[in-house]
Amino acid sequence: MVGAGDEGKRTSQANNGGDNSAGTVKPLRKRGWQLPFLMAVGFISHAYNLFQYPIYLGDEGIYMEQAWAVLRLGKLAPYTYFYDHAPTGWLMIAGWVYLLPGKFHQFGMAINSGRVLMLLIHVASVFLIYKIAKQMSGSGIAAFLTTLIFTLSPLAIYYQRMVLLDNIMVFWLLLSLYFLTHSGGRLMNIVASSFFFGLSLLTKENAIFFLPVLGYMVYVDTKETYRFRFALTSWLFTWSALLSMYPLYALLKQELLPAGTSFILTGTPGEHVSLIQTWLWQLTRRNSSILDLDSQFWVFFNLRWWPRDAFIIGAGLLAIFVNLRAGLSARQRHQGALYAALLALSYGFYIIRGSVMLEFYLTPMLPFFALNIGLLAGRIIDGMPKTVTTPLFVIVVIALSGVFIYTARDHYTLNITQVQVAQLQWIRENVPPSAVLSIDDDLWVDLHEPVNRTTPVFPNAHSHWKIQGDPDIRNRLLGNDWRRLDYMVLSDDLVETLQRENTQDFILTAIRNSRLIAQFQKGDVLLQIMQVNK
Amino acid sequence: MVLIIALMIFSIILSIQAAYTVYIMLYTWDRPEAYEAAKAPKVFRVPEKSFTVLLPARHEEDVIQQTIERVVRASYPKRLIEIIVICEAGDRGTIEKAEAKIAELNAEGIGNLTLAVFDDKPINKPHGLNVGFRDSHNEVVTIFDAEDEIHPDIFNIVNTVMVEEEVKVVQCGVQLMNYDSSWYSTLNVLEYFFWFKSRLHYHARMGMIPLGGNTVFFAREIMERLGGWDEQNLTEDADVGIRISVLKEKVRVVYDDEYVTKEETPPTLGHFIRQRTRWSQGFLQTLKKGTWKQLPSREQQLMAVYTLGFPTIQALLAAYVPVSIWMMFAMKVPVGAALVLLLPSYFLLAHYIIGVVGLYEFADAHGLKPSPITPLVMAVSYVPYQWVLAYAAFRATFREMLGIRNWEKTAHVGAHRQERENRAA
Repeated sequence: MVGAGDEGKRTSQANNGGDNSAGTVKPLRKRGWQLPFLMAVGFISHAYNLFQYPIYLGDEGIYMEQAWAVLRLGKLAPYTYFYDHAPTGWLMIAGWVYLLPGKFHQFGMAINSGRVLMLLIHVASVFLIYKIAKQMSGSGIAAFLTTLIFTLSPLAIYYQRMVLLDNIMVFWLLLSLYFLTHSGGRLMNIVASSFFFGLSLLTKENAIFFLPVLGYMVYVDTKETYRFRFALTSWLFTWSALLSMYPLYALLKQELLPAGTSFILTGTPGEHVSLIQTWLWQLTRRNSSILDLDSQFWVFFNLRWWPRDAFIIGAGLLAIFVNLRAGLSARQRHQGALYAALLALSYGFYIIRGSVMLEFYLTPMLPFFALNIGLLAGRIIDGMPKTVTTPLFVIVVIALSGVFIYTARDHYTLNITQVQVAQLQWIRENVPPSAVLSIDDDLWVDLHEPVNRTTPVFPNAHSHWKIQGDPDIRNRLLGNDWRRLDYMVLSDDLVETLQRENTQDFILTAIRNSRLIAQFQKGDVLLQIMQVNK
Repeated sequence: MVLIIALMIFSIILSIQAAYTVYIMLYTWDRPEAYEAAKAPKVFRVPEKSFTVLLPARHEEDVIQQTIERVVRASYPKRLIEIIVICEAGDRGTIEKAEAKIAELNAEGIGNLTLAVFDDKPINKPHGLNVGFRDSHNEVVTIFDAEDEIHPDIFNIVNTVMVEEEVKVVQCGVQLMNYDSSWYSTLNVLEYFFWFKSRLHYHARMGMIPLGGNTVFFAREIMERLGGWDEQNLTEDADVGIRISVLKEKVRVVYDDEYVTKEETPPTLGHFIRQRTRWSQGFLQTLKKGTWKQLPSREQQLMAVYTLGFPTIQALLAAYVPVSIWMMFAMKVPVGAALVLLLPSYFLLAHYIIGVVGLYEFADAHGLKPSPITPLVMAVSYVPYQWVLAYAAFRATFREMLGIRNWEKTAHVGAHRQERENRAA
């Protein structure tokens, strides 16, 4: 035998980026039932009472009306599209509605069609987060607990039922993480991961906050392998190429660069909208820092998030820091924990950085709270003596489920949307179709899309946001005169919100000069319809 | 509107093929098992196989002696190697140099060399190979081109692979080396790099492989079954590959950076165009010949058509990209349609970026240090290079249509050897 030269090259390594190396996921017991079971739990917890709770949010309506514009007008929005978000989310909704025989009214109120899509996305997300958690931890217990928290947390159910871009973005992000954690040494899985991350960016731009951690994961996964250069380059190229379609679209529409004054910035007519101007506007929107206890962050924290689910927030924060510490002290052993903590922290930075805050901005944080809690709990339970592991796991599952279901009892029992259904019905029965209505976006599609030949549509029903801010509506349609409005359809808390924000004087003036003609109440939810005094 | 839809469909089809091209460029990096399988054996077996080296040479008086020398000095028992230098009778320069070298080696007691001279038509490489093959005797037949710089262990590698894996056809890596000698040489070098390091492994796995023109080893029985090389074909190597695929014979591809056969890019643009024209025309001939129709599966047949038609597709792509960019800005098309029209450009960009990464992989593997401006040169020359390929492909198509099938020979000046000497200095 003659010896050949030294190989001297980088070699391929299977690297799953998990606490345990590839192929060593513990075969604890027969766990084939777990994932289908959790997907069924996810389906039931999100489907039961889906159309009745929570209340239809104006933002849900916005995405439905933009999907409506795609299908009915061949445009990205019924009003001037000003690049508030990239359109992948509502293009998906439009595609989904297109497949439904009854289109927007397949499930009654238009938003319900979107909510069913959110349900399907949630079930798919359950599958993905289970697989991700299992790969990151190598523990079936960690994967089960992560998924259980993700799908039963009252806070998660509350926001995940809503038609929000955040939910779609999270789905693409989880798909991206799935391919990254299951790359199996294959370059194409990294490309797929990057592609889906690109889609998440094109769904909602705040996904960009996950970018550094995803890049770090790709780096760690491939740095010792022969494909390192190609992996890193193709990962960078794929998502950037996909993302570049967005500014390219604006460029082709000649709406990339700012041109003079825009109504977005000043509320006055501009020559045209601009993607860069919208980005600048988004970047410079400032709100109080979280150091200010009166800031929106703390308002939501104290009134909306903590009361709905203190567990996922409290345990989630604790788990993030424990996992971070474990990951930093033993990177190889606790790599999955480190990834989970960094993913949560990177998005956490977005939430606490002190920009404009809406309450559902917390949504993308929830899977990473769940992941951190699940990974930590899995490590603790797996570390117990074998005789204790199973009983403890069962007790934790039962206790968690019990607490979650009890805390979320309103989610399963309350019919809060009935007031919106009643408000819509009243309009259909009492308002002439030619009337000019100021509405919130929750009813927009229901008022524009005919259910059947006998149901009226209201082509002059416009969102109060657009009446206030879009020159096409305010100036060209209404001649900058609130008296041309006939009815003011008010959603819950609208007047208080407008007064607090003090940015919609045109609408507030119209409301002040109107009289109440109908109202609908359930608990502390109050909807009103007012007729404008001419 | 119909025009726009047609262009969009065309654009999507081009994008799919471009994505496929990018994939097979990266195949080895995508498949760790393919990467492992491509490596040369780490331990060599005791030499068993005897080799016949066919060394066709035409107007290679500058390099033929060095090539003979390298083959003779290979780390393999001389009794197991037979070298046949093949020349056309009119090529006195090469014949004299070859005779002189053979005499010199004979004087050293090395006698396994012969010179085969032919004076019949056609004067081309496959005819020469058939002449040489008729006079040969050993178990395994291989071809080296006159300018090839082979690795001394190449016979050990092939002997080990053939004995251990019981394969009858082995294609070893060939690599152009002079990546910075002209504006087009980097891209030309990278074409070889991706072809041999990645794409051929994909072809081998699919069972449809157009073989390379040298450093390819056949068991004698295979070549006898095939009846030698097609003398009318300008790419007899690709043709042989297709015929071997039809026989369902497994082809083992070995690409180990250390053991590649080193070659040089054509010295001038004219030579480069003529070489590429010959390849494109040869592929078209092989396509027209229709042997690929006998491939066992539809998938293999499609792949053969795609591969053999690739130069023409590439020409279309190169011609289409500037048109698509122009259309995007100049034509009044819906924005969505404009984005679709631009899709192939994204893949072109991906192709370029992969090329730059490939440059650094190539340089690392061979201990080279590309200048920081090389990627910029690549960027500037990238589209013109595609146009040159497109021109060669169009030229090949016209030549084939007009029935012009003479062999346009590529000159060799030994730039890859010079480069090595410069580095050594």
